[in-house]
Amino acid sequence: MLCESCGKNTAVIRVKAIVNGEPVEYALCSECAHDLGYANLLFDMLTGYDGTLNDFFPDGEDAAEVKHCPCCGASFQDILRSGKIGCAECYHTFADQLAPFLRKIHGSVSHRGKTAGGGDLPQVLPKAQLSVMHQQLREAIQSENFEQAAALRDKIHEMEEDGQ
Amino acid sequence: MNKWYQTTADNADVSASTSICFARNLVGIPFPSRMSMADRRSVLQKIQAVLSQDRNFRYGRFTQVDLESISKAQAIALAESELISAEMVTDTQGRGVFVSEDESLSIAVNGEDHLLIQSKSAGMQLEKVFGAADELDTFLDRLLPFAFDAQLGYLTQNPFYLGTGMIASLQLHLPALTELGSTGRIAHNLSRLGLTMRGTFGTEPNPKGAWFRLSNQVTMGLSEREALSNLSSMAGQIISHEREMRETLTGRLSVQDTIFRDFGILKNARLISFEEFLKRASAVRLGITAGLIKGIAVSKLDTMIYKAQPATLIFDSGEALTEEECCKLRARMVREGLN
Repeated sequence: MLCESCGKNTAVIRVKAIVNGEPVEYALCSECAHDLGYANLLFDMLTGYDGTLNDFFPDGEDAAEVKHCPCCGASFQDILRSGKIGCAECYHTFADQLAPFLRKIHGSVSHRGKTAGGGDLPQVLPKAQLSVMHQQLREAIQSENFEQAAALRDKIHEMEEDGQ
Repeated sequence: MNKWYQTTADNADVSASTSICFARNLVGIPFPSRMSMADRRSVLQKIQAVLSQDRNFRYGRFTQVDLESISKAQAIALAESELISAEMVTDTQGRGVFVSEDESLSIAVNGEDHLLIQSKSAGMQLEKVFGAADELDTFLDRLLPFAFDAQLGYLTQNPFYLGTGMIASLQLHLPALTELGSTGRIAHNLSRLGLTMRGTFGTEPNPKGAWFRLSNQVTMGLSEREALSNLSSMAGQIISHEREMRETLTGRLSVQDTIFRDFGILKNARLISFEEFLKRASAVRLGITAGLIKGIAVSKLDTMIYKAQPATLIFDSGEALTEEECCKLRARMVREGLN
């Protein structure tokens, strides 16, 4: 299928848009996708690796040996197939496998700018906010979501200390 | 209360609006492509609960719209207003959006990421729009555990947005640069500088109505303010170039003739498609900003463009309309607005 933007090259990705009051899908070639700002991990990996999907999906791989993310259950192959990361934990679980792709997309630079949990804007912290967080912490513990509970606990400590 | 797009602002002759989005996700919950329905509902509830804590302030007064309980026309109208993505229209279960009364602040939930915090304003007001988005983000950050890594920044479903997770955009009206055939080359050069410029309505090389969206593409290694400064500096150059070209172009009798003919058609048409309206409104907008057409504010025409979009028109009318009825309603709205 030809790219629906330039009409010249072969389309490699589809993007959704609303046109004339209806949701539609456009097929775009790699060059137009890049110029139009439609970034996709899978597409980028395929172009970078000359479409050698077999490198990622070896035949006869023992399913039992495939590593799955403990949070969302995604395997690295799932991420490659969909071009989407399964959850925040996947970045940790598949850190080694993702590293070359992240370097390819972003270079060797690291994050600069706002920090989560830091809050760049000074705000007076209402007590109500802390009580909501305590409630969320109880819920997280009840539902055995310990990772979330730990993050909440740390944040509450930090905020209580800040408030003193 | 006026909506954000009904207000006037600096640089609106070329930059009709500014929007800034932050992509955010919660720790311990799969990203939207792997979320269960229970996860989706839980995230919606969490955000609703957090916003309701701000009762005395504006976040507590946001309107919650659950996409699964609204009509398809309303969902598409929300996408036309860019409050939700096109992808959210095709799968509405467990998805929603929280919107402020003037629609300048919103949080789309369970789209590409758990939260898409968005702030908008008329004209080119990057500082103001960033400030509002940042303040809402900070408020939510204090109450929700956002997925973040010191090196990778905010963790997003699409790794292209790692880092700040921020996309800032300007809606540019470039009739003169389009007429001169310069926009393709500009877009190509911008993509090398970490910016992207694409048509607002469709992906054609010559976008309808000469409307373009200029956005930052780099989210990693640049702070939010550095990214905004790059965008602002490139936008400034495009805007002054467009203004220079407009001055030359609108001095020509043939261009003035097109502007006034299109103005006449918009003031008299009984049926008009959105595509035809966009094309003629582009010429009229050029005429207004060049001082050829007086007594109509640019913001009024921009509001019309906003309201004339097919699904928005149908949703606002409150009825199911045929295509001809849509064209009739659009023509009447435009006539009443311009006469």
